[in-house]
Amino acid sequence: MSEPIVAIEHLGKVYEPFSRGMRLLLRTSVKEPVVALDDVSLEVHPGQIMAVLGPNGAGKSTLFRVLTGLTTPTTGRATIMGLDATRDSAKVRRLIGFMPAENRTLLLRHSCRENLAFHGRLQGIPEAQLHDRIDETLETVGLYEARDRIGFALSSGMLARLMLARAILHEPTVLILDEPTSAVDPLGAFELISMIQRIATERNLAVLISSHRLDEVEMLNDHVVLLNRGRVVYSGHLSSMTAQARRPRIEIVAENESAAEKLSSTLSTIDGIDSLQVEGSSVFVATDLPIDGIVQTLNGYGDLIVSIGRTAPRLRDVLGEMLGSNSEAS
Amino acid sequence: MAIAQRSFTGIRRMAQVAGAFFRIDWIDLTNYPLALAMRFLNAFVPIVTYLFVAQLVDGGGADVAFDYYTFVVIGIVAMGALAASLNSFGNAMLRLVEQGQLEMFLVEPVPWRSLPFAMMTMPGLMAVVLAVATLVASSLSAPATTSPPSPRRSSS
Repeated sequence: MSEPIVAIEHLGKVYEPFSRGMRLLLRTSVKEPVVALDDVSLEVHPGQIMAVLGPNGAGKSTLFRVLTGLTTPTTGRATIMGLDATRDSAKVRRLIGFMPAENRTLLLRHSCRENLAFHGRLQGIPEAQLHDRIDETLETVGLYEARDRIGFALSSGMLARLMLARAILHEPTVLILDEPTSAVDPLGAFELISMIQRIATERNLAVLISSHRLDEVEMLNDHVVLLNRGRVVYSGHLSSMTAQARRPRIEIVAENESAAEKLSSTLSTIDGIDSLQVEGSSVFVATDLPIDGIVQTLNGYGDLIVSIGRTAPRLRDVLGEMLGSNSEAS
Repeated sequence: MAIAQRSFTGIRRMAQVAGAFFRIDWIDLTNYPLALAMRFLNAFVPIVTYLFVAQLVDGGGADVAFDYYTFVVIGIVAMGALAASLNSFGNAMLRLVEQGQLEMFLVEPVPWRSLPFAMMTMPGLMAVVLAVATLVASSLSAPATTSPPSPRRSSS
């Protein structure tokens, strides 16, 4: 396998409360040390898209802040192309394309071209190449036709694409995308994720992406790192995560909701059933028992049942299971 | 030699960053001409007010009215320059923090120490232009001759 572009080793970050002197200058709500990252290690290789998952406060943004040089780690180190993200921050920032979650980071009174020209100059792109590069990048993200429209005249999806254009303008080797689709409708989000996949493949980029939309993570179907309270709960490919975490699941489709409730209460009397979930007229059963045993138990309720079968459990349930067991362990 | 080369590169990069901010501020300025005109008008309001006061006092027989006016104009210009130098950076920072753009600038491969200088380029230039315009306007509006200095009273 190729050398990792992003390498994070035993990274830890503790936000300490400000000293009395600093509190005269800045306002803070941190009264006790807050552990944002705890012994986080991971690697991202060229062409790989790593989805960083976790509930709010899991440490995703702090991880990105360390990589972009906005904060320093308390322990461990993060390197990009062998350069230390803290010590060589200025060089590292040249290698990173960053797309923040909020589109107000754009200059909304300025056109797409003006936005990119401004950031291109800050990124040190020579003036002779700048305008061609801007046109190419706008073409890549499908905004060339809207190049002279100001930010306020663009839809949320177009603004997200403009932020992506800004992130790739200087041809970085690493893309860091902090909830890129948070303000975009599902269809626009699908297009944006496809675009990110295409760009990552074409340019062989290492991509770190955080998202709360699990359908996008399933669509990416690449590497996943699951964080909870600053710790890595899982790191690896999405498929092995689901295979590892998912318990056999049986879906019983009942005639109606009251029938589903009745079946659920009958099943709750059996030993060996881990969880029962009623959603509309369906009952989801998590169990290691063979399906024949379930069918036998429900023998007298044949007229209430439409179908019984195994289903692929949803990623949401897998994450819930993993995060739940992690919380219990800690 | 290497140090000189590094300094030259550093200065050139700083100029590039300042140029980027200058261009974007220039577009902002010229895209809203009415706002720009109002800014200039606003700078001339005290001049017109003090000119009116000077003429009023001069009409009452006081021979120091336009000397007073000259001092006031110099004061206004000096205060404008001082306020621009003290407030522009703070205001620009506040705007960036409120708009959520500061972190984006810090993530760019820009030497952080060049940001204050770059962000001050256009406000600084505007302060100079306004100061010069104020001086020109006041010198055109004041009478060509001023009263001679009053003789000092002898203490003996």
